[in-house]
Amino acid sequence: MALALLPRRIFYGLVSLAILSVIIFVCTHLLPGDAATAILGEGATPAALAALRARLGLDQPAPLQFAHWLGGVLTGDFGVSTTLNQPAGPIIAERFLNSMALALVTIFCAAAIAIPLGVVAAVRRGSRLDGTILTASYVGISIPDFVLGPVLILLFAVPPLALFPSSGFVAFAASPAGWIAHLVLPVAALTVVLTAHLMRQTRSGMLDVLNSDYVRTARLKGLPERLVLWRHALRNALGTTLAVLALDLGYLMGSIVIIEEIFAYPGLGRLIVYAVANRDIPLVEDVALVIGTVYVAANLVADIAHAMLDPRLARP
Amino acid sequence: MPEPLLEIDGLSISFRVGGRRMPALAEFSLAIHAGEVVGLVGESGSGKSTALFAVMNYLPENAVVERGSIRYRGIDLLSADRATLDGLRGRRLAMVYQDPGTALNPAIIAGDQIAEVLRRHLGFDEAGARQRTKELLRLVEIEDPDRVYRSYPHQLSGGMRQRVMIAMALSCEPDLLLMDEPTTALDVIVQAHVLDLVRSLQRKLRSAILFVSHNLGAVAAIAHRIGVLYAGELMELGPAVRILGKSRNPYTLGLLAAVPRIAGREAVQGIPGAASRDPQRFGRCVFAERCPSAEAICLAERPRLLAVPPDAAQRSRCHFANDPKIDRAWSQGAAAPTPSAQPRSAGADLLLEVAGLSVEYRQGFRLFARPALRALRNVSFRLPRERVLAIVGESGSGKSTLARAILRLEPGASGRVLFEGADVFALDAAGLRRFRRKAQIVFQNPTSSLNPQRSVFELVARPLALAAVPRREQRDRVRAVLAAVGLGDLYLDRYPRQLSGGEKQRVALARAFVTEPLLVILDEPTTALDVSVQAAVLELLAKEKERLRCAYLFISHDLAVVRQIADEVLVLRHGTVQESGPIEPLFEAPANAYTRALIAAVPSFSTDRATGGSPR
Repeated sequence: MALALLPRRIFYGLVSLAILSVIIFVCTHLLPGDAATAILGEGATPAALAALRARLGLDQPAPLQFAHWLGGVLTGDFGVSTTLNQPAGPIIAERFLNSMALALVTIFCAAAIAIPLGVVAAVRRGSRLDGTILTASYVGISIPDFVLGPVLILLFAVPPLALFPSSGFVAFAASPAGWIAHLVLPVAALTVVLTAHLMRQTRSGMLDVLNSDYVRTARLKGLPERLVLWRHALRNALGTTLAVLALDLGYLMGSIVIIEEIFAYPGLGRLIVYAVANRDIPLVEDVALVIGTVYVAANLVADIAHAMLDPRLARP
Repeated sequence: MPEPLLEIDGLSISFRVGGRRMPALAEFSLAIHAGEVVGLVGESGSGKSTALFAVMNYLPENAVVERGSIRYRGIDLLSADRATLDGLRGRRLAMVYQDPGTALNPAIIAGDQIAEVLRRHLGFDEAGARQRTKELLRLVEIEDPDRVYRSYPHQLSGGMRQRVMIAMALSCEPDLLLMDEPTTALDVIVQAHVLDLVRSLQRKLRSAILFVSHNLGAVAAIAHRIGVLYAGELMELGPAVRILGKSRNPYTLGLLAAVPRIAGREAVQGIPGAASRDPQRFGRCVFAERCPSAEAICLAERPRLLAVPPDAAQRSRCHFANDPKIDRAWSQGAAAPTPSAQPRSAGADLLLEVAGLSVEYRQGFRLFARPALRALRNVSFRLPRERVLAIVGESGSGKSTLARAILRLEPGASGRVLFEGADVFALDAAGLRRFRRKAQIVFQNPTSSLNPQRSVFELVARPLALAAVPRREQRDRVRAVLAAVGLGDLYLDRYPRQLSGGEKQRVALARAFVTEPLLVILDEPTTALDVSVQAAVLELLAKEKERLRCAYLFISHDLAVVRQIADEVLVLRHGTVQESGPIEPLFEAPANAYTRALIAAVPSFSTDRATGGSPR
């Protein structure tokens, strides 16, 4: 199935995005007051408002405005931010890269911690180690990230430790060390929740596989346990874990809104909070669509990853 | 006699279940010599698989070895460490499993899974292992070893997968091959091929085999010696010919009488009741409460394995093993064979007519539609009242699709189904409700077809409630029908989890019979049941047909069962009718090559007492 279905999946992904774009557009236009009012303030004269509306295209029928916006996005023209008076494209591109750096480093850290722990917990099921890992993961899942962020700042960013900056950002090109230092705390906050989730997925996937008939076959062939785990169990258990990992990328797109705000990290999350607070309608629309696209793409990657790891899907 | 290869001595195993210890195997002893094929027969819960996996020292975590030992060439397997076991497993002791679909790793190509064993145990390098693997694939009669080597398990058929498993097990030419129901998950023709293959390979390689199965026919086809297990107790052990032909144990005799024969319509006789699960059962004869010859001593004292003359090669665990009375025990209750219905003029009392019935499964959505899959093509037959038509075929032949299509449960069906002259596909909602009261269906697996949240009364009364039958009348009719299927009032308030498999299927039958239907579609109604229970259910079906004067559409893959109950047969393959007609001529002289292959594939054995019988 799966790989043969790829064109179909991509098609449905595009349909989802089309629907999403309509919803975004409708929602932003249902908000009380429009961009013109937001820019000029409550005291603006009707004439000034009308003039600005005409300049922004707000006097045109809604479907036309929608077509104009979507057509622009599709051709790479994201419109103009009404509050910053700059083209939205470059602003979003820069923030997008910052957010992706945050998300991908988080995913990498979470996988590096969660997968070995999950495997160990499954292999030593019922042991004290398993219990400790499980309990820790419950704690990790239970702490909301808006609590964890400030706690991390209090612990590591203020004296006496003051190991890392509490907020802000340094470009990688400017100072690789500074870039890393600014990533540490936000990545840590995001990793905790993700690790807990991923660890439990890995553990249960691995447990299923360890109880499977083919692992029994491998053991009763006389293979030592090390080979049973590496050659026979892990490959099958990781299929679902990697698919979940790709899905988590989509989940992270939601989490970064809060974490970026806490750590004053200039990414998409912070940008959308700014845009909403300042009624920068074009920016809100664009960022929402970009986040939606990341989500859809992550799902697609999850499907492909799953298919590639499971020959039953890749080669019917 | 030389030292045995494997010696199981006084092995007792129990399982910890919710703080209690449930014994599964009691003081089981068996010796296997080099090159010998020993069959272990038993119904579910007999402990046969427990014994087998104990040899591999691979028991579930909650298993406790209470007593006993298992020695392979002097090595105590139960106390061996993992390194010792790793050296023996796959090298000296190899295993073939029931379901080759799950026993092979889905993520590794078939050939590499065999080559791995050669590299691990025999020190082959990569190229050498690949070379040898292809030779092994040829040995198990795989014609294109190159393709099979490169295939993932899911790309191979069930029979191919089992050949790959057998090639893997034989790769190091083990001393002992352990086979756990190796043919049970396979279709009947494939089953016959695999049995033939194992038999010829055994002659060639001289490995000893411990062959475990619930299928007496399969065991008879291959074993030199047979052990009969029941409820964790070894009931009888001896040369195959003597166990099959001159058994001296009431349970073995009952089992033999319960096995339907392909050769002719003989009375099959069920063993009443179900196997005891009582943890205290080993203090007496475990079979006592179901045994027609039981006396006071059977409930008071555990029988020993008594030697049966002329020598100790055959031993039976029965106080009366050498008493002639056990020969008569089962003959008293034997019913006359169900008579085949007399041929009647067709059409006079026609109940169901199916004409040009096809079923297509559309694949994919409209935008991406692929060619439709035709599950059933142009099937036609007529079923008069009070007759039994059997639909036989292997998995994927379209049997169950046909059943569902007749009940209008298949949206992709086309053609005509006439029930009492009315077109089923044209019925309105009310007509459809009336039709479904008169045409009932019973499924293969009663555990999944009965709602576990409902009591037996609620389950059986459900069709009546749907038909708005008054509550009081419901009670009476449910009682009557439960009595008819052999379940007393005691069962009214029980829940499915409190019932054995046979009892559950009786409840499912009662639910079908309670509306007094004219047609009952039985979709593999005995496949999930033990053979002794199956025989009892077949008796019940024959009796109920007489009482209700209804017709059966009996769907089965088991031709021996079909022979016992059907008047006419329709053979399906890949959704098309191969052959159909009255049962006797069709079974005696099948015209169609596929029908001939199906009939020939049924493992059969002789129990002819006069000649002593011989495994075929």
